[in-house]
Amino acid sequence: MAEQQTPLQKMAYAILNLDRRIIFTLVFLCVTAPLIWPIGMDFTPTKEVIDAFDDIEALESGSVVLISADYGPSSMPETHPMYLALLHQCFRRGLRPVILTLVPSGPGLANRGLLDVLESENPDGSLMYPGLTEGVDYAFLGYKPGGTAVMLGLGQSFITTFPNDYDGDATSKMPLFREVSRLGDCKYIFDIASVGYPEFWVPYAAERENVPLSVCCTAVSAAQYYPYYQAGQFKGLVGGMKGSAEYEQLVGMEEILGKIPPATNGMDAQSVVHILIVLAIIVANFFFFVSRRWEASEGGRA
Amino acid sequence: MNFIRRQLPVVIAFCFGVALWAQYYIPSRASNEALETFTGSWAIILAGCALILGILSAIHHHWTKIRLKRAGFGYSIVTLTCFAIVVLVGWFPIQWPGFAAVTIADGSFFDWIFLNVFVPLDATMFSLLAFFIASAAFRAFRARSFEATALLIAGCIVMLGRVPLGELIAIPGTNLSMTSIAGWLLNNPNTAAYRGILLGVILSQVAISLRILFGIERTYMGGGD
Amino acid sequence: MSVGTIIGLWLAAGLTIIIFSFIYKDNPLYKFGEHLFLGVSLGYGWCIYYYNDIFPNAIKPLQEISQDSKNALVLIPIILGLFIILRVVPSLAWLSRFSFALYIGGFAGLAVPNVISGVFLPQLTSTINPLGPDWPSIIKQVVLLVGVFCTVVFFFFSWEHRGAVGKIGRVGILYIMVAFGASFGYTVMARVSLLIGRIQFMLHDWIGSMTGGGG
Repeated sequence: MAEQQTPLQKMAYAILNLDRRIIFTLVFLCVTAPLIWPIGMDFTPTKEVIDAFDDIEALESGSVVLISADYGPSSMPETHPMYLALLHQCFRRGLRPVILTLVPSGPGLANRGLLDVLESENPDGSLMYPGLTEGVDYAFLGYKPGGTAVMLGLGQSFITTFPNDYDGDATSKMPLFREVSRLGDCKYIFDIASVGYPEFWVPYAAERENVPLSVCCTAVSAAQYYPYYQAGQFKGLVGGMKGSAEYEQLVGMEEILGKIPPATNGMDAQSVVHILIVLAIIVANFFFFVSRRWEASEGGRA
Repeated sequence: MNFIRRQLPVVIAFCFGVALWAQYYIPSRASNEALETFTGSWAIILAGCALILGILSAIHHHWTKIRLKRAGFGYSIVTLTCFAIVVLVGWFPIQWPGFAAVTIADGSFFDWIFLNVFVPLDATMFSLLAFFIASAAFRAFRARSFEATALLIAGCIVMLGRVPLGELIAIPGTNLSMTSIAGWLLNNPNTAAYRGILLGVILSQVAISLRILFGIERTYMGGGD
Repeated sequence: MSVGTIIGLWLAAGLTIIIFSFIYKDNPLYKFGEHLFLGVSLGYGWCIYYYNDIFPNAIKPLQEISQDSKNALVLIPIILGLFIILRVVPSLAWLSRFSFALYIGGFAGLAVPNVISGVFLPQLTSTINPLGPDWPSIIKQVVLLVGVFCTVVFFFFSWEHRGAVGKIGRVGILYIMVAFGASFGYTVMARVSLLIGRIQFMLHDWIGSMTGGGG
């Protein structure tokens, strides 16, 4: 017959069999509380993000930057803030972004983000980027299926691959594409991706056409892209919401928006939830070993 | 007929594959134009048709469910009704009250549905994973072996080192912090392991490509005659 | 704020709550939201494919055949595309083999030279570098070289993992575990970010619009 359980053993049993809804509630509270009462933790941008930012800063005014917004609503909090910050940086530096997307749920968000940036106002109510013309200073090409086919197609011709832009206007009539006819004419590629497209942009576009490439990806895929960053195939690597928050800081999004930008705003909650999960892992492992030793000693006596 | 159905697709795959492989080494004007036609037009149209086939297949599945009144067919009615509404709104340039007279562009009813129905549903569906991954970490993440302990420690270092808090967990007077340790770990052992995996993946990709070109791998042809 | 925007905000907030109800348990309201999402995404996909792909790349060139005879070439992918769609008719499903053969064969041929010269060789060359110039760099280069070698050996199953190969493989699995741990840490981060995004919407956009602090 088993001996009377000690308080520690009882606690171990209770902790290891905790109702999952208690964990859910703790997660919810740890996300919500810092968003209502921000802590305002400071952070320093990492080298991976600074490299991407510096590359864009170093481009000559008027250079064309291809932005592939390969993300949809499912990864919006991680990638969309980066897209907005990059567009602000491009327009402020006088660069000309050509935007496209390779995921079907992408064009709605990319178009909305572009319009939000174009409609940005200074504190005095004037437009932040006045006089920009579609097809001259920027272009939004919309979505195309095929992934690598699109990348290789762009390497040959923008007009063949995208005969129309998202609004249905012919790209052949746009001055921008008379000047920049193919991917090789672009000075930089920036892939903002929630799916595995960055690893295809490397062989089928960046290496083939000899155009530098930087990537913003969801945190899920960030770790597996470090070999590309180390090899210099990605000039910069912006990983997840933290990476976006770092880019927001470098671009100065707080001054542009007049409020804390979304990714930066989420950093306190991110820290608090991570502490919760790390503590949960430590506590669960401690009680797991306590219960295992107890079971072993019980087994030994039996 | 057997040749047309079984052998001809393999011949087509071989001829096209070898031609496009050769194109890489012969970047003449003619070969570039051929590549432009294949990738910039043909492949894009074919990819679009494959995606439409996927949609038709989903519709067929739900239509069958409704027709046979299988369990949960009411939900299939919701799916097909929503599909019909969105196609009606997006495909036909009707002037919907309060919206711009455009089909899918900004200001359209279609765009409104995207921003207010599609975006919250898609984003919330994926955000549920935060709860389940926290629960899974609590229940299943155990240091049962040396390898599992390495995984657990690396996971905790990255979790703490890749948030602002990581900069606060530091040894005073040194550059050593959780952020710098996470950075070293990601840039060195992590890079090494993923590079090893990547090299293996590329070699298998090349092997699979060769198998397709030489007709050894034929699963793309599907079953049946 | 326009009426359309307000209705949209409330609709989005309602749908967010419906999906969040799954946290408690699976329920008919969640199932409704799930199927609503499926229907809307199918419809959205249909229109996006038509306006962004089928119309500009297939139908428009057909309409302009009289202006440029080269446009007639587009008939080939259109016919092959119809073959793909004919998979819904079982007796004609075999026709799609030609389309898939062209697509898959073509990209198999394209993949070989591109991935070897574009990824394999650059990744290999950046692994084997001259050591130096200082001790931290040497340590990093050795860690990298040893890690890549041991990981590749671990996945090499043609030799039995015993003796020296087994020991190298064990070092490899340690590297792999560290990398998977890093991926796990980042995955937690990603999932939490998505939740933060939704709570930000509920607090700042939805509740904020009621209290006048929306945006």
